[in-house]
Amino acid sequence: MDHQPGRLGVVADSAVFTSVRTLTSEGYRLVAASPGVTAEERTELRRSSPSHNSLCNDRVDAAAFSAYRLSSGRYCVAHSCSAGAEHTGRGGSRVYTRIAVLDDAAMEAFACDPARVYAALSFASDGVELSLPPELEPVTLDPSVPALGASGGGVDGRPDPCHVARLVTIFLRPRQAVVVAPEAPIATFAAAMAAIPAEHRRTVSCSVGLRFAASREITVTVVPGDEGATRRAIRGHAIEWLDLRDEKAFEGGEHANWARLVQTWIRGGRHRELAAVTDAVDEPLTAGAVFRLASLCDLLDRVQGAPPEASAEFSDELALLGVRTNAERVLADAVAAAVAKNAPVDTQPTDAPTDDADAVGSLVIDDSSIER
Amino acid sequence: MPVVSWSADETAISCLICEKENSAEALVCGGCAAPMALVQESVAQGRDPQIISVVGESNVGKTVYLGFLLDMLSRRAKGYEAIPKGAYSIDLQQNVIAHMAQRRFPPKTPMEPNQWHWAYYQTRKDTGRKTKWYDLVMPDMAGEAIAAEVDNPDTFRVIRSLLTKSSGILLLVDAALAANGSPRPDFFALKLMSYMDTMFGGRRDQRIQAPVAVVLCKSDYCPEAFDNPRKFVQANLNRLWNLCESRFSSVEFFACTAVGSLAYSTGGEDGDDSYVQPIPLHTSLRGVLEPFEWIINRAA
Repeated sequence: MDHQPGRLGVVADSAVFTSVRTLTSEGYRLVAASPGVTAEERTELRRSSPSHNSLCNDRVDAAAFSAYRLSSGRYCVAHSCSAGAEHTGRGGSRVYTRIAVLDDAAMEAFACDPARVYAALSFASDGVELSLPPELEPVTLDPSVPALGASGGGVDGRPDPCHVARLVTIFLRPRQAVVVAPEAPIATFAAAMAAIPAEHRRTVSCSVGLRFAASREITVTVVPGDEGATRRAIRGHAIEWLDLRDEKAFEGGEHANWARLVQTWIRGGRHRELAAVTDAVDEPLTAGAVFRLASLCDLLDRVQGAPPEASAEFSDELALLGVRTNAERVLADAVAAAVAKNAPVDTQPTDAPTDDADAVGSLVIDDSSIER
Repeated sequence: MPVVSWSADETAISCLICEKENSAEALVCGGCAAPMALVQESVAQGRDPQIISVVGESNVGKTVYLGFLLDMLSRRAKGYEAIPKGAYSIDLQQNVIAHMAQRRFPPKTPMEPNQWHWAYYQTRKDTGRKTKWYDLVMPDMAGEAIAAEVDNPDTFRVIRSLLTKSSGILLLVDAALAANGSPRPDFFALKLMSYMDTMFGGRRDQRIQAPVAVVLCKSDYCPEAFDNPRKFVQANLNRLWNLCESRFSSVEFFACTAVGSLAYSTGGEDGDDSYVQPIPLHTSLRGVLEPFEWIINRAA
């Protein structure tokens, strides 16, 4: 990954779960952990970490990801990969899982986005290390590492905007589900995380690229394909089977407006702006809140494509909508800025918006990039 | 009848192993991933089955042992008649036989309980007289899951449930490693027996009644185990021997082997010379049925 490390790092407890043979033991277990990982957390990590045949595919470069909250209140993000052949010679690959355990403050540094933590963990990892001391040093994670896939392309390809939007609706109304995401599942997940508010990201319990296992107690299991064994395992339980390719399964719903907006903006390459809006949302996305945000975003899009003489109309519409929340304030300011930019020449501001990290202040883009 | 009525339209079925309530439509228990067919079969038979747990460390040979045991029962070895209840019961023996026929060991058993194989068999010994049928449930558990549960109880509650409900336990120990001087099999067996001692409870002067057959696997490496298994355990697995003597009233020791001869290949798919793959050249079963027979007689 081509990234220059930032100056500040976030320290997190770390652990490694894999299968090695040592003097005292053999097989899958927690082979190393930093001292801050408590005994109760270790028990949960043992239960939730993937063992033999857990990766959805057997490729040498197979990778998977899981994120869930531990009963201690801390958050676990794990990166799993294939680490050569299974060492007892019984076929299959050895699964190697590198785990980071973060408290709320550490998660805040990543805007509560597990995809960003995963990216930082992958960046900080020295690869597969099978000869580890039982006690590890805590790992330092760089919050400036961009999420893999959140900006259009990731470790496993480019996500389909439709699939991202549909995955967003699943996380906005959390329920137990096995989700089929055949194309770029990790990138799809990362893009979906950037499109939901931090309050919802905090509660995400998800695995991507791991086979379903009830013992892991993970809410959303994202798999690349349909497996008969998984369907059998979830039948008769309150676990939905959702295929991101199935348009009908996602029709309607209380977050349909937001999903439509997400899909449009991602298709238009407006990932940073989408992330800026969702980062400004500081309360749960109720149906009403989503409707208002989507209305403001729609208004913003219309302003940017409209002739100057329509500026007054948009100002009136903005006044009618009103502003109730911080995120709405951000969008309203952007609409006002766009209206001002669109206004007749003698009323435009002299400073052009700069392409800086605060994309909220410059939610004005080239109209030609939007697919209508 | 293990059926509880929730409402007029819904019924819930308690899992045979962990007793979690599941809907009537569930094929697999939501708690322990045991097939719900176990409950349906036990209801059909009008009796609860006897659970025989095969436990042991990772890579000791539980899958191979259980696969061959079930296959021998299916083939009416030593006068046994065995009927599998449900196609899922045959998966394990088919998996083992198919791999061994290709001179390969079956794949490692994952820790996740939903990937374990379960076998439900009705069996009896044909002695010419009318004999009783036994319904047996035998899960193939992962050694690492057993180790994790023993080291940290309640990590995998399904294992605790299984052991608590077992009519008998087959404890597999790697005799080859023990004969070679490694203390690992002894310590693992000691931990497991200590876990069972704690689990079954009882006062200091009360010994555990559950029958435990200690099976010395891979005894082809140490044929003296066949001559006198008790002496072998006393000499090479002394910690286990002492605990059995102190705390368990029904323990017997058996030697067993499944593989006749073993070869080794190196290199693997990526040419890594440090990767060594054992190749079972042929099977030579010895001592597989005897521990099972002893457990059945004790459980009766």
